[in-house]
Amino acid sequence: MTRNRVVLSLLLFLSTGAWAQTNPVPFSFFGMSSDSESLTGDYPLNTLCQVPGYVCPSTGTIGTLGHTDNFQWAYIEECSPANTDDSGPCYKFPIGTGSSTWTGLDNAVKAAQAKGVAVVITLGLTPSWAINTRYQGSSTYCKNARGTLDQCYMPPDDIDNPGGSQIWTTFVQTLLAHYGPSSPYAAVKKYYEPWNEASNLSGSWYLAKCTAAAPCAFYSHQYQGGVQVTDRGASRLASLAQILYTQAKSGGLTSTNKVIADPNAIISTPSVAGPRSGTNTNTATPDWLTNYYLPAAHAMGCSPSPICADTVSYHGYLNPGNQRPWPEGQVVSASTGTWGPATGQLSDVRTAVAVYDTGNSLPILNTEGGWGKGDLTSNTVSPCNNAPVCDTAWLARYYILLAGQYAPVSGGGQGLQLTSWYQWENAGGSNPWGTIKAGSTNTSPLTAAGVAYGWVSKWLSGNSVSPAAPATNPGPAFWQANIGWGGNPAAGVIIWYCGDTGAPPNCTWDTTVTQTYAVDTTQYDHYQDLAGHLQSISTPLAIGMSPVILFKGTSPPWLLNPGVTWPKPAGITYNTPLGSSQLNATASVPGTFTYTPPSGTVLSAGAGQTLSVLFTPNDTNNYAPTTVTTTIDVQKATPTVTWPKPAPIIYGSALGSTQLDATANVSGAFSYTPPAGTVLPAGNGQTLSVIFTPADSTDYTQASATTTIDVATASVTGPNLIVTKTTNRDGSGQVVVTLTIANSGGTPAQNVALTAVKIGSTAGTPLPQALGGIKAASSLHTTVIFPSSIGVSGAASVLTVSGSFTGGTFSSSSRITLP
Amino acid sequence: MTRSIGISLILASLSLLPAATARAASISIAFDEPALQGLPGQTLTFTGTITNLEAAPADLNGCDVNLPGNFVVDCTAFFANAPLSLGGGATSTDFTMFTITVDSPFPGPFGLQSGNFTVLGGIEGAGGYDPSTQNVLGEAGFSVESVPEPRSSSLLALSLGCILWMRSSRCGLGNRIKRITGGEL
Repeated sequence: MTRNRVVLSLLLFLSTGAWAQTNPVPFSFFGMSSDSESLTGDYPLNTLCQVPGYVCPSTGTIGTLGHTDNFQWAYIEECSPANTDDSGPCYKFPIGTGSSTWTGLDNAVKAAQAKGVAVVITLGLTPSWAINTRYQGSSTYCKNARGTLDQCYMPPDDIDNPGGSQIWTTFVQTLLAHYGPSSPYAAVKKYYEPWNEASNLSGSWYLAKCTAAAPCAFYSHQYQGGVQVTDRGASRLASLAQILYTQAKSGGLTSTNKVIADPNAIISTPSVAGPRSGTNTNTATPDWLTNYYLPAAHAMGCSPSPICADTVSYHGYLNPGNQRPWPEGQVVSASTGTWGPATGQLSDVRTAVAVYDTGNSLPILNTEGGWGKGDLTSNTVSPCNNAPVCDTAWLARYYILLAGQYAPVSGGGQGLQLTSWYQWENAGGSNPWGTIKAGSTNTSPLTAAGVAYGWVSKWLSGNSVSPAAPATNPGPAFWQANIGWGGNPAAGVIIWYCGDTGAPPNCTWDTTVTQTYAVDTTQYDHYQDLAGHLQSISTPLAIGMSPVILFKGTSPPWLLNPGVTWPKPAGITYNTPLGSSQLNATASVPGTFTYTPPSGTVLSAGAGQTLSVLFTPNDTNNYAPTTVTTTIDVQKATPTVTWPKPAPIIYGSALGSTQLDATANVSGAFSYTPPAGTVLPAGNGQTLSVIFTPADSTDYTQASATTTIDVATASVTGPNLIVTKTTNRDGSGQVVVTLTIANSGGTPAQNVALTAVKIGSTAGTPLPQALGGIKAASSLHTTVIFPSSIGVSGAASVLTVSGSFTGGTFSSSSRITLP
Repeated sequence: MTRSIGISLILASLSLLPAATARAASISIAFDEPALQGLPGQTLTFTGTITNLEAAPADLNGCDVNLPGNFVVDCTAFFANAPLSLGGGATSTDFTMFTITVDSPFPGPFGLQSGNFTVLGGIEGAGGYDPSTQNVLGEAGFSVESVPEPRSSSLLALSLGCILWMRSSRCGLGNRIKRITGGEL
């Protein structure tokens, strides 16, 4: 905004927007300035369509194409004095040098025409041939553009002629006629600003360089550092505006019989830029505006507008050096003045214009705006150094705040009809402002802020936007704006975390800070962020400095439904990796599916496990990245139990680990029937069974297996008692020995009795025990108890058993390990 | 019974004993002397070797001894002497396996009794040595002949001779007893 240049900018509108009852914000609210030296064709109109989510002009919008040098008055009129007609590509004027062309500006207007949108053409910077000869060739008053010192801050030299500047009159007649009813561009709506940033001391409207040797003949400011000065700058600027307005409304024919008056020409005021309250070096916007419109300073004499304007232009920058405020905040600088909030700056403009526009009916245009030079990310002084999210959040909050002022004053807003971001493609240039592209070429990728521009324009366009304010829920440290569509003024809500409740607030620049918001999911169950990601809401929702929009369902009006469907996959068994049979979501448009968890993942067993997919459509302009979830049931797997048939055993053997040796493919515990220690009767094909309980009971079921075992018959003819045992401890620690006495002989053993059972030298109880008879190939059990003092668990010892039966005795000894 | 008759009976009884390597056995038991003779009160010690018939080690975890008659059987010596484990195909050194003590006094009748010795344990699997397995690894038969003290044998022989004589010519001793008691013997 402090550029020393005359700016010819183009603002392309689809329409001025209807004052509908709910005041939906039109797409034309979202402007985009361009500063390209290579502007040709419909660039950046088509390039703007690369912004994800941005609706291109065929259905909506285009913004300001602001230009530094290429499309200013001096650029157009650098023609040789010998050329006296305007039939060629160069508009000829009696005085001037070099060659000039309409080509660049024509291309932009052609592009607007092709897209069905409007343009704004900003006039300014007088060609050097048109200023007083005292200042020609002086770098103090002129700067280089296409020639040497060919663009000057001075007014045309004949500015004080009684009938006004004839030079200016001829220029605006030619300009209006070039795009007027006689031209191929008659149908294009054109907004004209008579001068760029007229309040800028060091810029377009020269004041500060007057000296006694070179007295100022042309002042722009009535106030300098708050002190009123007596000059005629404002009145002279008003004279230029009056000529432009009059010619646009009632101009006749040019010398070549082209129609000058243009019903599609809308005349705005000179744009004003600066702080809300000024300093010695910065003129305050309200001061300048008030002075410009002071009745005593000039008599503009326009009709029907007494201020010779259909709209009011200002530049909404909030850039006092590197101490930029958030759009809802404020910075008070001793050197640069008071800046922000963005809505306060707008309110100042409305108040100043109200001197003449008592009905507050004139629309206001923010024809350039943003955080200013560079970006917040790379700014070494900015508190948001190296955090792109600040750029993103700042841009979005700026637009949300100002779109909330779209409604007329009578509708609760300020009648702001345009906010044009400054600017589009200057990243990488020598003087980048508001960088949203990571490069300076047409195809340079967008920054995150550029992407956010597309999405925030989608959220707001076509919907009513309430003035943003501290939130009642979840609290005043949050800010919110209600977004209305479908008859619901709060069908959506945009919310972000500020972190301060002051007025204006000093919002946090800490990118790591988030606060939770317990969203009522019966009202809003989805949200979208500034990267375009659509998510279902799981409360509490963490919200930081970047605004998100909450709404119900997945089809807000700005998005086409990509038709992602994902039926619940058939259940799988644990250990089955996720693959194409499960991760098989489909969409109605081309795009990419990103699954979570990804293919190859082995899920634990369990029903209703969530699978999600992020679908990123190829056409991100019109379809949102969409997350869809489904569930899958994962059944427990059955372990594989292997149990070969054991080798035959001789009757009397107790089952042990040699026979009960089933294995499984996972770790776990085996429970055998009959258990270890059992003495099976003689016979072949006796069934052994096992139940396997896996250690990982989450993912595996129990499993069972069976096998058979052959037990060889006894080979002894008489009684033959074989003693086996199992041991354990009871609740009091006593060792309980269960003896199995099997008769492997061929005849019964009568009157079997235990006479002695010892562990080591300690006898068990009760003894003796009369056990009765044991038939051949049969067995019986009995127990003998030993005191807990017998030994510690794990100690090795020997169990000896002695007994008798009718006609004989038996003895058994075996190693034991104390339980 | 003469000694030659006793030996003949032992040999005859051994022919009826189970084979030293029983069916499905994993070990074979070879006694140094499978038949022993004992007086009342005498303890007979059975020694021998064990051969593992399997390829894997055999864990020798227990023993059982059965013997009809009036004896005290005891295989606790097995643990003092037998190896914990016997390698596949290996044969142990000669060791004491169990003892038999002839009751004293011995109620009779004296004579030959056949018994059975069983070794319990397991053939090691992947888990290695396991002292808890109690499979019948092998069995072996043995025999014990209880014989009276030599004096008792003489009295017995005299009595038997007297009985035979009395049946034919009235034994004087019998008559003397009869006379002393006044009744029948």
